[in-house]
Amino acid sequence: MHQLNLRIFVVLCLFLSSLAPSFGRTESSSIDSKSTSVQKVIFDTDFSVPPQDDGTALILALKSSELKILGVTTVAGNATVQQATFDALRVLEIAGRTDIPVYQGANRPWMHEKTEFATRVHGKWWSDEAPPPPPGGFAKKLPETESAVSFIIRTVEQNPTEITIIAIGPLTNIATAIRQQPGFAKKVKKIVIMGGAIASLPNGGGNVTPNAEFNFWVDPEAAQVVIRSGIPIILTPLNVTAKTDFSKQWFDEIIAADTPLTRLIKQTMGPFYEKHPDVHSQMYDQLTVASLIDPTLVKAQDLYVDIDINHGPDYGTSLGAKHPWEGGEGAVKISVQYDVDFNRFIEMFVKRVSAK
Amino acid sequence: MKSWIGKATRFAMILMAFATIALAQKPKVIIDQDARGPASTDINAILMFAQSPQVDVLGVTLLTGDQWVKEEAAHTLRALELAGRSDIPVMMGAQTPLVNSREESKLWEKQFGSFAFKGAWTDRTYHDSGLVPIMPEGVPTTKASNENAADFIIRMVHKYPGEVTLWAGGPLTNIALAIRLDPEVVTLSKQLVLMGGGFNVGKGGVHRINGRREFNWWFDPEAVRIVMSAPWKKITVTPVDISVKTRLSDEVQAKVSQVNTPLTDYLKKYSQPSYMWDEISVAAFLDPSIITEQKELYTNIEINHGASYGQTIFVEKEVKVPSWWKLATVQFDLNTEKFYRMYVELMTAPPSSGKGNTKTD
Repeated sequence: MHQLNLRIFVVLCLFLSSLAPSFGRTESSSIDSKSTSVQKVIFDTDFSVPPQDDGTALILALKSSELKILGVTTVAGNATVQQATFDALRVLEIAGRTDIPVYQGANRPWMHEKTEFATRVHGKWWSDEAPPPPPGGFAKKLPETESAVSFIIRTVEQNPTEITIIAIGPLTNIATAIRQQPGFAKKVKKIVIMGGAIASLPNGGGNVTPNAEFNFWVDPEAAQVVIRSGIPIILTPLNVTAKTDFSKQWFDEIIAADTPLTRLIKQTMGPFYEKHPDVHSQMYDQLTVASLIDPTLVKAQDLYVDIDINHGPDYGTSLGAKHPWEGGEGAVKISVQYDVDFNRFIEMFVKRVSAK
Repeated sequence: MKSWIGKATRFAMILMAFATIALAQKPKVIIDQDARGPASTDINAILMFAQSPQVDVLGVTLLTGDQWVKEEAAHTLRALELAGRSDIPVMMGAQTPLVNSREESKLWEKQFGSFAFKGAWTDRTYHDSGLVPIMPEGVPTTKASNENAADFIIRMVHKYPGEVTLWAGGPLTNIALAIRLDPEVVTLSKQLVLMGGGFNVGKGGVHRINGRREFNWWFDPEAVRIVMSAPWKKITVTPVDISVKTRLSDEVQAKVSQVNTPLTDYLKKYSQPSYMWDEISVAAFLDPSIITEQKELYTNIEINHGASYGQTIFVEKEVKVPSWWKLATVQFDLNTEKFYRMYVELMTAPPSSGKGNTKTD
């Protein structure tokens, strides 16, 4: 975006912020804009090493002094929960951040059964296979013996209204914590979630079924429980990630720097870009982390959102509207991102991920 | 005389040996319950276990169902106190079902008709979940454990692998949470025994929440799906079909009242004539010969959120079903004479009759 356009854009959005859609959320930008104190976060992920988006999202978080990661919790999603755990341990080892503990969480979604379709499409959440060694072999450090849910509950209890949960996988761990511990939801500061696709907004198609996004589709019931929990939620759906565009240009900029983490990115993504130099990809989880650090990167609006949990053709689909609708009386108003200033976002991402 | 003493000593020693073996082999049970108090079918089932010298009750884990979990804990602790069994730890668990909610049940009622009874959500008795209404039976002097119900279940099945029977008389939220927190709960347990589900009472729908929409299962259908789809070694189900063949009548209660203990006094004052939903399940666990008709059926529940949400599904054993359907032994008829006799015997036994527990620390 050109400088001039950006300025008009900002002015326009300041004007619009008195109306429903706002540029960043009033709540987010006033309470915890980037200038204020460090945010304590729990990083809940269905992790895999890069090129998986969770991987570079964690690297972005690690390289952001605005965030203090109290722990990484893992969940079955992209990978099996075990692979998520051991990959996360390895990335933390490479980053020299073995001080951050890793807690293993749910090995399955609440209700979703392993189907023939599930085994055919992306994701290994239904599998019990042993995790493959991450690049460079398994980390020396093991996961903590405490479970992810127990850690999440304990940490929130010890830091009431101070913890932000970054949830970039299926929401199984968070939903279980909500149901396990009455009163838990009231003590969470907020959750930023990568998940869903709002069909009524532009770019509202799904990426697993026609309308369902992967994270929500893997555990729709958990997604519904979290959305309805009363915890303040900021959602990064496919609608906004569709406006991101990671390409070889940015990869080249990142690996131009030589750090243990950029070497990992080079090792895992390099062969892919050699074969497919023209591929463009979305930045899902990275945007959730980046917009937590700087809410002014995105435009968001408050929408009533609910998840279809009937086991039919729309299982796991997220719906959003300005007002509740018939059958959507359970929908809850949350902040939904729908646009991003990609130039500023990618600048932040590349700069931080390649930082020494 | 000498030989008599010798015989008596030998007899006593044999008895003691038997008692030791019996104690060592007593089945270990966790009672998972939505314990409406005072003296409901829920509490009475707990009391039957607590009074029985045959079982080793590891603990009572509670959850919202018939009442809110907090008031249930107070009623349970008081009942155990009156039975001289405050040694049994009481753990609180789920305050709400996994997915179902009072709001959703109201939307359902608008579309499909009203429910007579919704447990803790029943409109005419509704109050805040944190409130414990006045307890006519008195306030307990003991407190619930700080440990969460699901955590307790997980800890016990690991401590006594292959030995623990999970007995559930309420919705299955606690057990579902335990499974999702630690899938080994299923393989490490000895068996699952529960009261829930229903087939054809009132032709399946006259009473709305009876029939195929039995309360325990209706309250948290998703939890039932999780629990009933898990690979337990054995599942025994006491459905509402058999409940309606029993009644805690004035006659049965009169027999309990013939003996005077704090417990029989409590039952005399507070128990109401009603079906003996949970008591049957306990009795059949203690003495399987009480059941005269049972059948192996694939047993599960409808979890789509429409008219049939929470309805029990029974499928004949011969039908080819996907692998997540599991067979359960479902009870359909009983010897009521024998059952009432057992109920009276247990409830009139002296206080602390069931003592001699395994330590749960």
